[in-house]
Amino acid sequence: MLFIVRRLAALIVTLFITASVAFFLLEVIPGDPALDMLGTEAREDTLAALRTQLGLDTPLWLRFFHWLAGFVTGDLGMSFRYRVPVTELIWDPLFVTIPLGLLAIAITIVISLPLGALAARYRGKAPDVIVTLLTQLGLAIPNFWFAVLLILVFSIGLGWFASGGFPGWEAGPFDAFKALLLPAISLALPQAAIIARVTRSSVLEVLDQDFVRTARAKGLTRSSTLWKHVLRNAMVPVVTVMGTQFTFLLAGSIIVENVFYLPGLGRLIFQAITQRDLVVIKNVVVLIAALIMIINFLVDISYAIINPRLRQR
Amino acid sequence: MTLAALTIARRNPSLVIGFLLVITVMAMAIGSLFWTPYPPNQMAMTLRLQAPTAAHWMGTDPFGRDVLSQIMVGAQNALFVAVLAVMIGATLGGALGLAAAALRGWVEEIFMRVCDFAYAFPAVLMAIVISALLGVGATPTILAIAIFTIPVFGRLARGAAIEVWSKAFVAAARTNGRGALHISLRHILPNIGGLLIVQATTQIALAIIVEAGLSYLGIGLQPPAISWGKMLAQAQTNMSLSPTLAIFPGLMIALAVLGFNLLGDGVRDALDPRLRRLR
Repeated sequence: MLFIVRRLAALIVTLFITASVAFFLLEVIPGDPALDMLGTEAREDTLAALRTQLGLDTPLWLRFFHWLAGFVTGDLGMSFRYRVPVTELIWDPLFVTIPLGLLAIAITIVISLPLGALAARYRGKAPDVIVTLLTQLGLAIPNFWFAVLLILVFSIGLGWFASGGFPGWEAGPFDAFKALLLPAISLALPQAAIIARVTRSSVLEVLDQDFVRTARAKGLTRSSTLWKHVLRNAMVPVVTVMGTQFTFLLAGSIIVENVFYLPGLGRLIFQAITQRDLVVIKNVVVLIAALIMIINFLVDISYAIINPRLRQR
Repeated sequence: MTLAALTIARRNPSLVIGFLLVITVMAMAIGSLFWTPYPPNQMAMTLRLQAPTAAHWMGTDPFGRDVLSQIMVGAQNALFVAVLAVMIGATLGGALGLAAAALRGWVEEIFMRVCDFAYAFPAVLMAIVISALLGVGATPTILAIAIFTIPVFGRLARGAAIEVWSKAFVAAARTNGRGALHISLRHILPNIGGLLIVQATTQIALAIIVEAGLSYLGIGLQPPAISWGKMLAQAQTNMSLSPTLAIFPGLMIALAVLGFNLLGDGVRDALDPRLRRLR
């Protein structure tokens, strides 16, 4: 219990630091949002009125606490560019990025767990060498190039998929799913390589343990020992690594969504940057960072519940 | 000599393959300083979007520029950005990690919390925010990569240094009246140097991917500077006309990253053969 309280306190402190760093960094950015919105021809009194309306004339620290209070209560402010609340702006993209991420995780698991277990089972033999080569390639191929290659083969070459865009969920789940499939595969590639590696070394470690010998001695076959006993015990480190991979999944989605022109969170934040829509950048960045920290916190906690020895640190 | 080389190749193929790939990319980069088949930005509209030929081994781009020449100059930029950024990040991070291990207490605590914070930001996301702050181009890209590299080396150096601090020879140096700075530089650093070099090698691989990604998005290197990522973005718009355009820049990124990853693995195995059996 003490462990959870301490981790929670650390989480809150880190969240607070993150929020303040993001806020103050993006506040010192040169440029005047009011001037950006109205253009250089705007009259001085119009600019002043807009600055008041946006709250830009109040002191920095007051704006910080005002923003923080809003953020905590779910008020993410108003986009400078689109003049709509940020919460509204991120709502639709969430339903692209989250399904995309979940699909990528599913693909990652389906590919990496069997490959990792197979490599460990045939350690040093041909399957192991092949899997090791595949993981090295998976780590080396940047996912945006892999995405481009997928478009080249499956969209331009075979014509099975559109080369980008998203029809929306109202077009039916099948079409939406189809639009997300290639992006999810390219997002999953580096993750699958990492998870396969972790699975392999974790399975190898468990294979060395006494209970495996016992299972074999009581007459279980090699493969039933592997799938029933070893894999389950090898899952703890794998699940931990998978938790931390969310971070990279979110980051990867920024690029991959741009390759496939998917209207997700990654594309939104990227557009906000090119349009200098600071309110959107600030809030979405802090939101993503908070999500990542909360996921890492939950992974830590669940890991500690599974394995009590870790609570002492 | 050749026999010794063959033995190394058998025992540690990662080291040899990685070394060869890295040398190849480096040779391209250094070679491009003196010679490229064509001036890399020379346009020739009559030769646009050609498939590979004897005159243009990798074909030409939508402006008739020679792709091979661009790839060579791209190698130069990729290595320059990645190596410089990782050197900055490793030096700062290593120094901070050593300081945290030497001073312990609240300095260490603050340092670790800052590292947690930096870790919460994925590299690409942080690089994008930094580009928003500093603008686009080579310098912001290098800074962005350097900044997210700092905590990686900070954590690694701190962890390894704490272990060395507990060794008897460090206690001996302390009884001799040596200060924390002297011990950190003369005793701790040489003992964790190998580890830092291995990490730097794999970190360069990551830096190459991030630079290419940022340039692909258009917030990394800016024209006329040539980046593999930028070439890839441009290739995508002409992909149905000239598919080979999308192949070579990506292939180069993958080979360079593979080379540095394998080299890192190989050096680690060579430095610590015990680890190889455990993997």
